[in-house]
Amino acid sequence: MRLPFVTSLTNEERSARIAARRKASAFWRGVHRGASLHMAMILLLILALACAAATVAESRFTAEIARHYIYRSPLFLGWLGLLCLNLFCVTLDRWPWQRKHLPFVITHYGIITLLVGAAIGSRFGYEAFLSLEKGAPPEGRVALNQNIVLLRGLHTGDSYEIAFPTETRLPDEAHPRLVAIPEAPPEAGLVLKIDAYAASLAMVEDLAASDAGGPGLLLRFRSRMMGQEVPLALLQNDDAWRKRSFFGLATVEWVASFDAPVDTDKPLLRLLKDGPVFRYRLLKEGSVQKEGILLPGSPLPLGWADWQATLEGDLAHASVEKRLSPTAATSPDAPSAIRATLLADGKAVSDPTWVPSGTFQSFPNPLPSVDPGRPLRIGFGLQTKPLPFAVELISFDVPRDPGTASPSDFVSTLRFYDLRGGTQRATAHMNYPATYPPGFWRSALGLNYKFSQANWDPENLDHTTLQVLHDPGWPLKWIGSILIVIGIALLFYSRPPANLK
Amino acid sequence: MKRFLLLLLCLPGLLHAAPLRFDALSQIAIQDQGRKKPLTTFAREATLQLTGRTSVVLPEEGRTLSATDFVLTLWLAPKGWDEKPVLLVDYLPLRTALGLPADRKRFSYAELAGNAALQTLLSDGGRMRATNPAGGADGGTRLQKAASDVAARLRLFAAIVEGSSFTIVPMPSSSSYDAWSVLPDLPRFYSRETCLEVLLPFRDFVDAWKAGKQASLDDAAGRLAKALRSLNPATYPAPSRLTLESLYLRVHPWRWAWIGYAAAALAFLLTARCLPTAGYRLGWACALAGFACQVFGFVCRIVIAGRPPVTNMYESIIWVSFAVVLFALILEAIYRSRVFLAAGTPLAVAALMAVDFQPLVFDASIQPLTPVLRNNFWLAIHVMTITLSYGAFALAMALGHVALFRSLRGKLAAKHDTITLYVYRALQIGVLLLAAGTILGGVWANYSWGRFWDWDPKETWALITLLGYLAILHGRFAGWWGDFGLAVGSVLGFLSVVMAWYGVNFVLGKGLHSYGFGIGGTRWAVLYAVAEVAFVALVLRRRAAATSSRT
Repeated sequence: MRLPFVTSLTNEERSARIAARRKASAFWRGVHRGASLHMAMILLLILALACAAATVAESRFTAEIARHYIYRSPLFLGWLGLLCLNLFCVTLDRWPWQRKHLPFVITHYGIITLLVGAAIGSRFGYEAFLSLEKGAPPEGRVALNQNIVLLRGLHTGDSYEIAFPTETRLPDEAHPRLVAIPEAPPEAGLVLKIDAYAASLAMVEDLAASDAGGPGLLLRFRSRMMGQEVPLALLQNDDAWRKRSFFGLATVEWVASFDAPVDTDKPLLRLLKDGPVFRYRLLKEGSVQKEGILLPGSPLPLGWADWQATLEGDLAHASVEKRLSPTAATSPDAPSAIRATLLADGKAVSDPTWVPSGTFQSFPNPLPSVDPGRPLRIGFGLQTKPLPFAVELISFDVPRDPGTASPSDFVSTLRFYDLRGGTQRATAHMNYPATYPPGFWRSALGLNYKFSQANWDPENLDHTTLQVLHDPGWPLKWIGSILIVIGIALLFYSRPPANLK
Repeated sequence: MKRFLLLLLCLPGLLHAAPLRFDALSQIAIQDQGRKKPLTTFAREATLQLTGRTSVVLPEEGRTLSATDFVLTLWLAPKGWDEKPVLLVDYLPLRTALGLPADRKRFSYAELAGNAALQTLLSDGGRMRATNPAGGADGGTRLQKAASDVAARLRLFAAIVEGSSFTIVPMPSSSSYDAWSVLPDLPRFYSRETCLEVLLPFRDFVDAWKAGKQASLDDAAGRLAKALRSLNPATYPAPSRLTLESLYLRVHPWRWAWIGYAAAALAFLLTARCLPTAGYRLGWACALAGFACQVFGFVCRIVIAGRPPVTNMYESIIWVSFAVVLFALILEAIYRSRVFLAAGTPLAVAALMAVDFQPLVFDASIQPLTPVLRNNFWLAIHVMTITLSYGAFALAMALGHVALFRSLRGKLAAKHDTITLYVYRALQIGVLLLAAGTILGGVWANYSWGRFWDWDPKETWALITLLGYLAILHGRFAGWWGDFGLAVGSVLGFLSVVMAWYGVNFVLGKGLHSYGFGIGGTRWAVLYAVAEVAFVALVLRRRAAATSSRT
């Protein structure tokens, strides 16, 4: 039987033809050179090394660093392109193909198809997140995994999105990021200076001078093992702030005398103002563990895991104020944020202001030509993208293993609204995503959207987060995958191994 | 002499306290961690978790308690046990952080429960806990993990002593609530008569246990099991299921498997010169016997758990050792060369012994899976394919060692040595299965995580391994190396398998495959890698010396 793509030429005729085209055509010479096995080896080995380095980078730092510097770097993608080219040349190199070449060709075209599918997927498709709340109106936008600064145009009020990658090269005071305010007259020199980024921002307490207040001090607790830092303020004359609980595990107290009765079995840190210095005494179950002088700035190991306390400072007249500040704690209540200042002609015309993720902050508008009552609105957060339909969460269920609180599944029941007012119900649970719009061909061709269960909030069971995937490269990935597996199987088992018989 | 006298003094005590057997308790089911299992399984798992051993040694009292006896003692006669050093704190930095003596590994409940540093550590860990159902959360520091392990031990200890662990009472069939309850709650759900039907045999059981009467104990346990089952037979596990699980636990087929493989390995190695035919047959028989034990073990585990046995490190090591022997048997049946089984069985023995003797690192208990893994179809085709490929690569590695040893002894033919063909055959199986398994993983991820490929470390290391082996195969065609290079490649290539398999979960500890993360064993893995590299370096050096002396 004659197979498709298989030549009827004899071995000699085929060799002669290959030799002839090598001589006659620069293109074919290029193809034969590009099909070098040495080059393929170098491509393979460097690709493997780069991937290994990336996984180490991910383990040491973050997945974003690995992505930015390796997986999505032009060099890495170019390398994959080069691999594709090499694979293509390798198959052309053997043209016209004989029967024995088919497994080889199938495998190598499979890899090319897979890589092309991946390229199409990343160019024309996207991955995003969709957070839904039961009872909330249908959502028509998804959040991409990319931070942006959002500026409103001064005149039109239009939105301007500026990419703000937070994986790498974050701005700091020495290297601020400057963003021109859109629609502002160039001569005004109106610029937004972003000089800090915080992975998490929370209300923390701080000591502020206050004439009405009594003496106050600020301690900072640090734990290297936890990667945590907690400021704690004490006010000598205020009962609510004189004695503080440290996460309910220990107590910190400002006392007038160390002889004051101890009313707790938990570890206790007592501080006493003695002239210009603070004395401390550490107690556990009523007995003294350690005492001495607490010098400002030098950490005191407390013996509570690896927590250390440092005296940051004290004021004779103080009050406690809470303000937004970067923190090392990772909690859902602590969003990421940028710190921005508005500059006009290089001079600050606003206070530095933290803009937490998902919010807008108003900055005073310094331009008299523009409606002065209208503030400048600056937002920060994840970039969003519109869906061609809207999604509503009907219910979110977390069935549990019998007799335990551990979830056995996560089930989001969704309702989709198309633009013509039609609705459709679907459920997304683990391993079974919801797809919309429905239909076999849309699904086979990757022209639909897939909603996979991604995140949940144990504290709020009316809330779910879905991963949204739109991947037009999907069919090529499928075909490529199947070709690779069939090709390798044929390569290995359709004939005895060369040189090893 | 002193020891002998001591032994003599202890002898009457030992004779008197002939340990009770608790097999009859295996027909009593307990609902524990989302699964209904025999009470004896619970006792074994609880004892292992609390003490790090499957029995409790009390050196000061000169006695050893079986797991079931220990758990029953904590439950029914706990007085004084909060002062006995039975709870394991095996991580040295944790002992240091908690201010505990470094030279002891086991501590009493009273010592640990009152430790303020432990409470601080735990509350900090709790605040940082992430909530991603698909995985992806960082497991926290090793110290926190160790601290939360100790906290789990304290909770379990308290729950056993209070009796709240013993959820052995099924709900009435009229109840929609599926959590079983404890004996003191019986009157809330059942009539007085029904309660007595359960509580009377329970009283008899306790009396028999305290009096050390085996026959009465068996009888009472049997009646108790029957009474509990009759409360709601529909939700109670079938007697055959409970018997199978207790049989699985008692027989411990994995141990018999490695004994069979060890016998096979010895038969192949010792009879290479004398009695080769008889030795070969004996080797085959032993290997098949070991293989049958493994098949039996897998059947038990699949029936008990209701899923393919490849869901944690313990299961995957056993599965990979199974794959090694499976491919060795197939290739041996084709080539009749003796070398496949001779090389494969020692590897299977090493792997099975490692999991058998390190029960704390490799958790043998059967637990419900994280929701993302609850799909038998994908578990079977993705995970089993990938781990089968690890088995094929392991066999290739073992055969590679044979080739390198031959080379050391100057016996490796420069070209067309049959061992090269064998290595190549094993590599082929591995490459095909790894390529298929990795791609299948992408297809599964497309459904479960909503993307085909995202450079997750586990995915990436599967790819790196594949690329490495492809380079090993292509390098031969490119003329970069020959048969000898293929053998070296099969040995060094396996290091990337170790990284993809163990390293990603236990060393890198990042990414979405977080349900497989664990700690421990790093020293052994590094030692293995260093030993392999050193061995290859030695062989290369000898080879270079031999070549230069020839020229």
